[in-house]
Amino acid sequence: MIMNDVVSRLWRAMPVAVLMLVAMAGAASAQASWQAEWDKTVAAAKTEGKVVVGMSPSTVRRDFLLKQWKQDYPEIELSLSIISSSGFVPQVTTERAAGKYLWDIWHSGPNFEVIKAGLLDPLQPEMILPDVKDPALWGGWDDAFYDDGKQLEMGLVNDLESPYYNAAVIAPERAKAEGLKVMLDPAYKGKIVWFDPRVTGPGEPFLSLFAHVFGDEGLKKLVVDQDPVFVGNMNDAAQAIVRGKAVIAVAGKPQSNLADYTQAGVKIDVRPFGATPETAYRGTDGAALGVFTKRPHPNATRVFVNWIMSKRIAALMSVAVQYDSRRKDVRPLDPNFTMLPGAFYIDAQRAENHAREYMEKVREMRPQ
Amino acid sequence: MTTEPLDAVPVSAFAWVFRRLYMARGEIVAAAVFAAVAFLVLYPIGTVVYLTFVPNELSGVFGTIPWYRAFSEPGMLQSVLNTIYVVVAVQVISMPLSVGISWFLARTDLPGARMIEFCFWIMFFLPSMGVMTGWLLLFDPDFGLFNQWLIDAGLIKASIFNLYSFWGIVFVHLTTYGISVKVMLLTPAFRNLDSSVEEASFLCGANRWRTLIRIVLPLMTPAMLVVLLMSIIRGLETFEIEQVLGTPIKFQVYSTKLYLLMANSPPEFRAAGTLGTAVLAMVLPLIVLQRWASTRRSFAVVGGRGGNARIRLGRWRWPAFIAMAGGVAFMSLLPFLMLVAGSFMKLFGFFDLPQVWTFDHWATALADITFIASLRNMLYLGFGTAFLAVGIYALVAYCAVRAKSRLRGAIDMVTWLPYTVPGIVLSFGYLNMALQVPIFALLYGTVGALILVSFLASMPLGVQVIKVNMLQMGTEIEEAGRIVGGGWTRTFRRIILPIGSPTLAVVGIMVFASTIRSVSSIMLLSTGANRVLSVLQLEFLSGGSLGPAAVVGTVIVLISLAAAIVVRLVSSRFGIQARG
Amino acid sequence: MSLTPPSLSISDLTKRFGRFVAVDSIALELRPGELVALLGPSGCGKTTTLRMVAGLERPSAGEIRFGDRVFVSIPRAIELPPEKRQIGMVFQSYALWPHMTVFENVAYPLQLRGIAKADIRGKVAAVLDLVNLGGAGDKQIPQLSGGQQQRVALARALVYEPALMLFDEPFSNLDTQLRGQMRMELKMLRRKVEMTGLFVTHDQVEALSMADRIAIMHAGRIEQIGSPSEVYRQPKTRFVRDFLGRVVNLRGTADAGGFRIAAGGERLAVAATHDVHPGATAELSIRPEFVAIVPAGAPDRPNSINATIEELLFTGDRFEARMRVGGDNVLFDLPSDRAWAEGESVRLHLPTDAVSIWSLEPDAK
Ligand SMILES: Nc1ncnc2c1ncn2[C@@H]1O[C@H](COP(=O)(O)OP(=O)(O)OP(=O)(O)O)[C@@H](O)[C@H]1O
Ligand SMILES: [Mg+2]
Repeated sequence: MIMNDVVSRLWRAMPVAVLMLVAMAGAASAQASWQAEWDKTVAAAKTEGKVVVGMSPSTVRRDFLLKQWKQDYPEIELSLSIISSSGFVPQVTTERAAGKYLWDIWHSGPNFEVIKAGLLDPLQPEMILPDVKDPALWGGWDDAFYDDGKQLEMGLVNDLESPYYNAAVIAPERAKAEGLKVMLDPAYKGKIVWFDPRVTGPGEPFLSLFAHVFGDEGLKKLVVDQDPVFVGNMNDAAQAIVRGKAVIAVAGKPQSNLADYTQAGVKIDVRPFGATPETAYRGTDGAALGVFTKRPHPNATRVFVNWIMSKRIAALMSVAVQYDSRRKDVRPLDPNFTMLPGAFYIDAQRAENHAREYMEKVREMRPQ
Repeated sequence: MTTEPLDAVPVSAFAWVFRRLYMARGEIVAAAVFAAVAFLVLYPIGTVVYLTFVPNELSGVFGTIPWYRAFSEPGMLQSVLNTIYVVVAVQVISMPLSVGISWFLARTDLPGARMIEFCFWIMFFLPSMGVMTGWLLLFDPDFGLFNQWLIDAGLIKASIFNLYSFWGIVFVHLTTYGISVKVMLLTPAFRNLDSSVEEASFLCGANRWRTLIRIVLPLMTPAMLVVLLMSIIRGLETFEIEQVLGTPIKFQVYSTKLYLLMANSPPEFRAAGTLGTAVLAMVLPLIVLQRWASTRRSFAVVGGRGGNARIRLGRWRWPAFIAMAGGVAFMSLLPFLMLVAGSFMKLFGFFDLPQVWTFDHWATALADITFIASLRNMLYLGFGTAFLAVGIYALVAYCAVRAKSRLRGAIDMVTWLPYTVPGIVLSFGYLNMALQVPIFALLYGTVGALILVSFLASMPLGVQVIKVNMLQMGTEIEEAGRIVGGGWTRTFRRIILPIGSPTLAVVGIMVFASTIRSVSSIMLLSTGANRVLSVLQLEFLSGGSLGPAAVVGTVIVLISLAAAIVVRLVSSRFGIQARG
Repeated sequence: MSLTPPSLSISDLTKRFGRFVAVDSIALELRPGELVALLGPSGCGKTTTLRMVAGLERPSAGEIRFGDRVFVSIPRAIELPPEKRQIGMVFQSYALWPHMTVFENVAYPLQLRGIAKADIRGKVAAVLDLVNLGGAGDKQIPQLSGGQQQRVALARALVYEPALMLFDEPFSNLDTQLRGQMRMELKMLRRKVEMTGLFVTHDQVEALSMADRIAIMHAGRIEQIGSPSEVYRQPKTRFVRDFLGRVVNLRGTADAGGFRIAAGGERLAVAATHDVHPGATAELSIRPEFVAIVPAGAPDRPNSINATIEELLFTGDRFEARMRVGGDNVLFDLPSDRAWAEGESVRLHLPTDAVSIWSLEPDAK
């Protein structure tokens, strides 16, 4: 009976075992094939000798990439250019019209102009390493890619942004309880510093969130009645907070924005309003990834893509640039400030959030 | 000696045509110069203007007319008015002040005039963002040191000078380009003046003041018009000052609106282009007027006689020196020191930190992987442009003044054009030219392409300044060179260039300094391979690394200064100052 | 310069600036070794003419030849650039080069001709000596006085021994005293250096005293060419008559071989008449220095008329007198060796050969 049982179990398990065996053999041969392809690609990349990357302005990320790459692939030159988000697409289209194909990697944005201009190739075929290819590691391709076809421009970071406030002035309990409503408190009229939301930049995505939560009327109250101080650069916002001129700031993330100040020993306690969908929105840190069509160094491009997407680099970079990686296997920097599972967050980059229209509205509300 | 016996003259039609062409060689050269300059200038501008009218995939908003789009921008009218207020205030203050200062420096026995003049050069070299940050340190309403001192000393209760204000903006305009450019250019012009002109006026019983107003200034008309026009255009173009100081106080100007359109994603090139084109349309009549006023009669003051007696200030000598030196120290040395200090401060403007000073920023900047390459590229760019520019500008200016051709005026006016369209808009035109013209396309991605663009970007300044100098040079000086047996090239090289050398030196330095620090025109042509220091500075700045950015800014200023000092030493070695 | 220098020949030379005719088909011949002055009022085209000879201005029409060389010929489309014409020119402004020393200024033309350094030094020294500037070679131009600068300009033009010299108002920037001195020096220089020369002036004393011949220009045309005494004594046109020296004009009527003063009625015999018909209203012209004035009762000479002193001005060496002659008021100088009185009657003696008659009829030139 027992024996029977065992035998029958075995029998029933037989196909599973066979399947496992087959799978193991298959895995081994897959291992062999991706490894071979990888080695071949790296060798070819070394002959190409160069990879050309255009990236958004961030000194820390630039420094990290340059140093780390040099360590890992000293034979391949990494030519990094900081590109101006507005000028880059016209520059590249004009170059291409003149028959010049100079760029390999796009590491900025997300920016829909590059896609519209047809400058990017699908990214997935470039992924070779299994550690990189698995969509589950990235929360699924649907979420990771910005473009409608889900194949051209992919976000590398998982970024949540919320306006931050000076905790010495606004009680954190109150911020927690009331959320962004605090910003409409007449006591803080003129005390909100905001990276000019009339320009594409870190001040503008917040418009979608605020309008989503408080409606158009609320947005108008904030922009007109609360008389926020618009500034033209990040540092002015940081200074305003540090100097006590402003109490609330809408200008990126405090940890990167105020890093210089806190590192230098300035004592200031600023906190984000919260990580709930009512207080935070999804940012990008200009860290999308794409590969150009007709790139001059296709193999080096491949190596770069797999390199930057690998767990090791993702983890190192997350610490270096103070942004959470999109990879599920890289620990978030601040476990208290991450997306609530299953919650829906406003993502200003997605067209349905009408960021552009809000921006136009603000221009009308604040013509000067 | 080729002499042609009269009777041996062949009568063949071919020979006749050939001779006619030979006789017309002046016209032909002028036409060639005009064609070359016009092509280089009109290509990029034409691209921009064309874009504003023609639908294009780069246009920001499809289906709207860009002109309407640009001018229906909310607050546009107010911004235009604000621009006018700023430009008028800046010019009304700076023009008399600069004329006065230049006159003192060039025509009187003011002690240390050369040093003071040099301080204005320093002022010109300083980046406007750096200067502004420096002033904020002093005049911020809440923490400005100056305001704080006065409050601490019990002299005032609340801040008296707030840089975030209309007058604050005017002040920064004045202390960046407003006064410095004018003094730099007017001083050599005043120095060229033959003192007998003044002496004659004194003999007629006119006092110094009357002489200045009635005799000296009218002779300076072309020089003054050129600097005035140039700084009006500069004032229309700069947006950094208003962007920082104006945005918080709801004071936008034309150029910040333009910047807004360009910074949009997608960038509204066409709408921005219309704003740029509108500046062009506004400035063109001024250019024509300027041309008319400076060729209406002769302004030659270098006659080939020469006297350069200085007016004695007598007991006013030292008071004048103290006022002048104090002012100049305040306006140039102070911001310079603040810039340098800033690069060593842990946090700019924070004096109450546990550790105020640091070498970290220098270490970061100098250790940057791209620093050395950027520095080398920058030196190639700066010297390449300056050398190429001075020679060619001189030639073009010569044609604009002396060519025996109707195209003379056209050459003059066309050289103004690169100034009339704001750099951030025009950079797109430059990009097109650099890529679409086959010879230039070879240079793309190298420093050569940047040199080409910088050469064009500085052309209005260079050509106009040299032109003024040539207007001051009597024609007979040059003709004498021909009569005694020198051909045109020889005369140009041995007589015209040396006599103009003080001005050429100033132009060379100005071109060098503004080329190595400017980014707007070369931005779109910049790649990893031809990155220069100013681009690296922008990378630091936009990446939030203010300290290293200040370091790079300091390095750029120091290099400009070094170049200027070398030029001054060299020119004094060659006795150029003998006339000054 | 042992050979006789060639001659300069200008024919049909015209220069238009737009529609304005600055020089109107003039013709002029300079004999070898001759110095000719172009004299005329401001704006009459003297400088323009000179500049065309120098090659600094292109004629609108006409031809300039020097010896057997064509400087410029518009019909044949020949134009020699200035540097090929081998001429010397002294500019009104001197046009010295302020960035060179005196020596360098003078040496430059020689350097252009590829002359050896040692020879240059010798030649420059010699020419500086010639203009009395020996030893001033190291000076900077602004350190020189006006007269010295003038002489540097002259030395620079002379140093390469050009066959043709051009001067544009060479002395106009000097004070009267220096001007006289320079005239002398230039005159002396002509004895040492043989040259053909053309010089422009609007100072008649300069023209009369220095030139072999004078060409009087008016509104772009040459009115008269001749020796100084010819143009002075026998002006061919009313313009030349009035332009050179002082002239006294008396109105009256012409008759055959004579002239009747308008109000006084006295008749004078005359030598030259210009297009005057007998019976026509006309004016009699004479240079005041040819008129002899004697008190009324003194022994009379033929061809004398009555006049009354209306006003007297004592100026030291002489009197200036305003006199009434017939219906005209005219000015004369009177010697101060005798006491004249206002209201006194005098006799004016007008030598026949110094008198000329010009028509005053409306159609007269
Ligand atoms: N470049 C020019 N363009 C237009 N008109 C000119 C030019 N040069 C000279 N003229 C005109 O031609 C006429 C003759 O000028 P030119 O200089 O020959 O006179 P000038 O006899 O030398 O007079 P002056 O005694 O005053 O020197 C003047 O009416 C002058 O205005
Ligand atoms: Mg003249």
